[in-house]
Amino acid sequence: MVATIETEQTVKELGAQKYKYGFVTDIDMEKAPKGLNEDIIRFISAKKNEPEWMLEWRLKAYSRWLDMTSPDWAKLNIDPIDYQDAYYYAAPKSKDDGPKSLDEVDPELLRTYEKLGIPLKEQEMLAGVAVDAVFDSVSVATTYKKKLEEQGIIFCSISEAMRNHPELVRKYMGTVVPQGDNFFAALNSAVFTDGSFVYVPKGVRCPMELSTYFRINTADTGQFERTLIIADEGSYVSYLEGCTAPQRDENQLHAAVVELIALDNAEIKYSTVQNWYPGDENGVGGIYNFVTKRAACRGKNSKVSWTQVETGSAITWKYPSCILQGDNSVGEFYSVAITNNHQQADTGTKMIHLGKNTRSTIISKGISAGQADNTYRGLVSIMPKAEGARNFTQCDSLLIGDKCGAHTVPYIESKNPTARIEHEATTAKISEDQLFYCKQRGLGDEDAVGLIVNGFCKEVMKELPMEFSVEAQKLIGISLEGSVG
Amino acid sequence: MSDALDHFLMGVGGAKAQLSSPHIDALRDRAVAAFKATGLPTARTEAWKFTSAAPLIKANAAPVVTSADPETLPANALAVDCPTVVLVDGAISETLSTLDNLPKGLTVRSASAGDAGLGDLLPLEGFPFAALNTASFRDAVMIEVAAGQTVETPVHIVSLSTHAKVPQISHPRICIKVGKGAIAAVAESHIGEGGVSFANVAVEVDVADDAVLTHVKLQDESRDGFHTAMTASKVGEKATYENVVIQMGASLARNEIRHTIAGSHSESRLLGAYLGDGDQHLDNTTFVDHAVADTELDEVYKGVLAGKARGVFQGKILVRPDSQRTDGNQMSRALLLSDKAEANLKPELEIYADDVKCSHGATVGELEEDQLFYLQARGLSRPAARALLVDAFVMEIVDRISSTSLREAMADAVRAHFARMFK
Amino acid sequence: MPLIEIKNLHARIEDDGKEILKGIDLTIEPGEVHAIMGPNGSGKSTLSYVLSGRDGYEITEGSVMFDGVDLLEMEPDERSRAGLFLAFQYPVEIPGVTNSTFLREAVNARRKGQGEKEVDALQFVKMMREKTKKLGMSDEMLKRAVNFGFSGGEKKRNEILQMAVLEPKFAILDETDSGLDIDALKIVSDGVNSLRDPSRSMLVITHYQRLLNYIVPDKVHVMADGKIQRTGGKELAEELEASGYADYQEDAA
Repeated sequence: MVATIETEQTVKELGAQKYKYGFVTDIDMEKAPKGLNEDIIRFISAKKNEPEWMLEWRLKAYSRWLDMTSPDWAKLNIDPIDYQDAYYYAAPKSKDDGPKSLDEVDPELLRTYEKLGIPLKEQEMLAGVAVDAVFDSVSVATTYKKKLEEQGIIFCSISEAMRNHPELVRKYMGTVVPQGDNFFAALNSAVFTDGSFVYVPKGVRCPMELSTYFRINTADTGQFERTLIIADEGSYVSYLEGCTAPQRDENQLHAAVVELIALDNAEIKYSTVQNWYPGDENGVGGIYNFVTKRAACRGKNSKVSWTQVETGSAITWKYPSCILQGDNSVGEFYSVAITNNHQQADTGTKMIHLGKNTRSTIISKGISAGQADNTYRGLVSIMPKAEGARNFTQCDSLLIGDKCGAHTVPYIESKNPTARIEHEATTAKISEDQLFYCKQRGLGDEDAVGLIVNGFCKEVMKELPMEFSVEAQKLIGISLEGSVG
Repeated sequence: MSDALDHFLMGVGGAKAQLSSPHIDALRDRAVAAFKATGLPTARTEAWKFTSAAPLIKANAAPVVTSADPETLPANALAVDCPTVVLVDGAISETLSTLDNLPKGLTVRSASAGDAGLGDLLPLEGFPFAALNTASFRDAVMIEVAAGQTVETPVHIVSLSTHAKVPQISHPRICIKVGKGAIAAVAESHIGEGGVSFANVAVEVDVADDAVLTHVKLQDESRDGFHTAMTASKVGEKATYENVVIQMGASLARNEIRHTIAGSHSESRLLGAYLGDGDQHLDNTTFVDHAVADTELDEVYKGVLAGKARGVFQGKILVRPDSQRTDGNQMSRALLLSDKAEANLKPELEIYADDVKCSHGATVGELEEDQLFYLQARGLSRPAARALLVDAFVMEIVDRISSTSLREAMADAVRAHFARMFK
Repeated sequence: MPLIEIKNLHARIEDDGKEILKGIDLTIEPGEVHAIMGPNGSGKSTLSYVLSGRDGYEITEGSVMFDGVDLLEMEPDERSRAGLFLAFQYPVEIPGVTNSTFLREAVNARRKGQGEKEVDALQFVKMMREKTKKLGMSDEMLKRAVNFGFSGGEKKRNEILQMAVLEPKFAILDETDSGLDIDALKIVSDGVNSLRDPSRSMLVITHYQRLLNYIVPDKVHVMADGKIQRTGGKELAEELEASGYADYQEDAA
C-alpha cells in the first residue's frame, strides 16, 4: 500500500522531465590510450595490481575474442562497432591505491552520486542498502563494508577481491560464464576493469540489500564490469543494480558479465533497473548494452530470481539465465522492457533444467512505443534427467502507436515426458476506451498511460525490492513520455 | 557441399524433357539459380534449427526418371469416394486416376495442358527444397474451381512414392486455384510403397475473394521414407482457407506452410497434428503473413510423440504495419508419451501494428495423471485409458475438418494408425 | 445561472459523417435531476460522449456552457476536473491498476487542478472507508483491479463509488440500469440518491422507466432522432412506459 501511494506521487512528478541523469561530471580522469590490444590488457592488469594468473586469464580471453564474430541472430540493427575507437580504462585520478575510506573520495564524485540519488556518506546513506559505486572503469566507494564483515559477508569491488580473496575468485570466476562463452563475454573477460564481488557464507541471511550503482561518465569509454556473487549453503542475498550515463551524441559500449552461484538451499535475488542513456528522440547517441548474465543453481533447493526493469540504452542485448543443476532448484525471470523512440531491445532468458523437480517461471512484459523494436527471446530447455521439471512462461507485449514493433521468439525443448511446460504470449495495445476512461476521471494523457502501463507490468514490479520499485515505476512513466497524444 | 547441390540438380534435364513450356523453362532457370544461391540447410540455418537436413542429403537419392504404374495403390490413402488424381513419383497416372465424372465447375489437368499461374506463389529464394521442386518437377496437377461454383464433392490427390532398389527423389507438384466466390474441398494423401524414397512436394493454393477452400493433407509415407513439402497459399478478401495437415508417416518429414493473408475480412485456419513413434522426426513449420488489415487467423497444432520420436513445431505470425485489427491466435501442444521422445516448439510473433489481438500458447507434457486415474476408476485399463485420451487429443483437430467425408476419412486414418501404435 | 446549458447542439460521427445529434437544447439548474429517455439509436449515449469529450465526434453547430465556461473547448480530463462525471454504460477494465490507486490518482489530479494539496495515504484510506460505508459497499472492492473481472452489477456499483469519491457537480448516468437485476438496481439507485445534493445536478439516461421509480427526476425529456421531442414531469415517464416510443420514431425511420 505504501509503495503504491509513493508511486502515485512519483508518477505525478513526471511532468516534462526528460533524461535527468544526462549531466557530465568534470573530474580529472586517467585513461589508457584508445584501442584494444595485448598492451592495453597488460596496462589494465598492471593498473589493478593483479596477480599473474589474472593477466593470463585475460590474455586467453582476448585471443578467444579475436577469433569470434559479433552475434547477428538478435533482432537488432546495429551499426558496426569500431572496437579500436574506445577507451578501455578510465578512472578518476586519485591516490595510487584508491580511497581507503569515504573521507578520501573526491568530493566531486560524492556530489555526482548525490545528484543521482545515491548518497555515499555514511550518515546520509540509504538505510538498509549497502552500495558499491562504480564510476567508469573503477569502483570508487563501497559502503557498509565493516558492518557486513561482522557476519562474514564479503562485499567489495572485484579488483579488491582478487587481491584479498584470490581463492574464491579463482574457484568461481568464469565457471558460469566461461571466457569464450560469446563475443561480448570474451571481450569483457579480456578487459573488465571492475565490478562487485559478493560472498555470503554458509547459513547467513544478508541483513541488507547490496547494491551496485554503475555510472558511465567519460566520453568514448566502454564500461566492462564483472560481477560475481556466491551464496554459500543456506544463505540469502538480495542484490540491486542501477545504471545511468551522460547524454551524448555518440554511442557508448557497455559489455558486462554477471555470474551468480547458489549452493545448496541458498537464494539470490538479483534486481536491475537499467536506465542507461537511451539516445535522443531521433535515435542519436545512447548506450549499447550487451550483457551476459547467468546463474548456476548448483545446489539442491537453491533459487535464483532475476528481476529487471529495462528502460534505457539505445540497444539492449541481454538474457539473464538460470542453469538449474541442483534437484528442486528454482529459477525465476521477471522482466519489464520498455522501448521508445528508436530504442531496440532484444531480451529474455534461458532456463536450462538439468536437475530433478526443477522449476522455472518467466514473466516478461514488453512495451514498445515510438519507432522502437522490442523482442522477447527465450529458451526453456528440459534435459533428459530433469524428472518432474516445470516451467511457466507468460510474455505480454503492449504496443503504443503504429510505428513500433513487438516480437516474441520463445524456444521450447523438452526431452523428458514428466516435465510440464506452459507458455503463453499475448499482444495488445492500450485501448482508446481505457485512455478515455482515465481521462474522464481527470487524469492527463501521460498520467493515464503511466498508470495503465504500470498496471500492465504489475506482476513484475511487485518483485522489485521496495527501494527500487518507486524509482522503477517513475521511470516507466518517463520512458514513455511523448509516446501518446 | 557443391557436390550435394549438383547431385540434387541431376534431375533437372530429365524433367525438362518431360515437361516444358516457355513459362516453365523460365521458372526452372530461376529455381536452379535460387537453389544454388540458397544452398542446403546447415546446422546454423535458423529455419532448420530443430531439423537436421543431413539425412536428406546423405540419402543421396537419385532423381526418378520413369516409373511404372503399380497394379494397385497401398491402402493407407484417405478413403474418400470422389474424383481422384494419382501421382506416381510426381507424374500423373492416367490409369490410376479417376477423373471421369468431374462435377460442374471443377477442372483437373496436367500442367502440360496449361500452366497459367504455376509458380506464382511458391517462394524460391531461401527455400532450397521448394526451389528444387520447381527446378525438377516432372508434371503438375492443376486444379481449378470456376468462379461462383460450389463443388460439394472433394477432389483427392494421391501422391505415391514407389519402392526402388536405390533411394530416389520425386517432386510432386500441385497447383490449386479457387475462383471468386467458389466453394471447394481438396485432399492430399502422400503414401509410399516402402523402401527409402524421398518425396519433395510443392503445392500452391490461391483462394480468390469470397471463396472457401477446405484443404486436407495426410502424410503417411513409408517409414523409411523422407518427405519435405512446401505449401504456399494465399487467401483473398472475405475468403476462407482451412488447411489441415496430419503427419504420421516417413522417417523424417518437414511440412512447411507459408500462408499470405491478402484479403481483408478473410478467415484462415491452420490446423495440424503429428503422430510420431519409433525414430520418426516430424517437423511442422508455418509462417503466416498478415499483409492487410481486418483478418483472422486460428492456428492449432498438436503432437503425440512416442518411442524415440522427435516432433517440431515452428509457427511464426507476422503482422505488417497497417495490418490493423488482426485477430491472430495460435496454440501448439505436444504430448510426450515416452522417456526418449522429444518436442521442440518455437512459436513466434512479429508484430508491427498496434491495434491487434495476437496470442500464442504452447504446452509440453505427458497425459494428465488425474484424467488417467479417473478413467481407470471407471474400469478402463491403463493402456485403454491412455489410448482414449490420446485419441481425444488428436480428434480435436480432426473434428474441425469442415468437409464431412474428409473428416470421416481422416478420422479413420488416424484411428488405424493409433491401432498400430497402441496395439 | 444554470449549471449546464446546451444550445442547438449538432454532432456527427467523424468516420462516416453521419449526424447523430440534430439540435439538442437542454438546460439544467443546480440540484436538478433530469432524465432523458428514448429508443435505441436516438442519440442518448452520443450525447453523453459528446458532453464528456470522447474522440470520434465532430460538433458541427451549437454550444455547451458548463458552470459559466465553454465545455466544448476543454479536454476530457479538464472537463472531469471541472466537475463533470460520466458513469459509463460499459465501464472499462484496467488490469493491474487497483481501484484505490486509480481513485487516488483521480482525486489528486482534481486537487492539483484546483491548487489544493494532494491527499496523503492515511487521509485517503479514511476517506475511502467512509465512502464505501455510506454506500453500503465493502472496501474489498478497492483492492481489486479497476473493473477487472467484475460482474455487471459490480461494475455499475463501482461507477457510483467513483462518483461518490470524486464529488462531481454534474453527473451523467448513461444507462446505469442496463444489465442489472432488481436487487442490484436498488443498490445502485440508493447510492445515487444518497449523492443527490442541492449543488449537484444529474442527467439520467435510460431506455426504461423502471430506473425512474428509484431515482425520481425533476424533469423528463424524450429524445428521438437526435432531438429532444418532448419535455415534462416525472409523469411523462409513466406515460411512455404505457405507450412506448412509437409516436416519436417515425422521423428516425
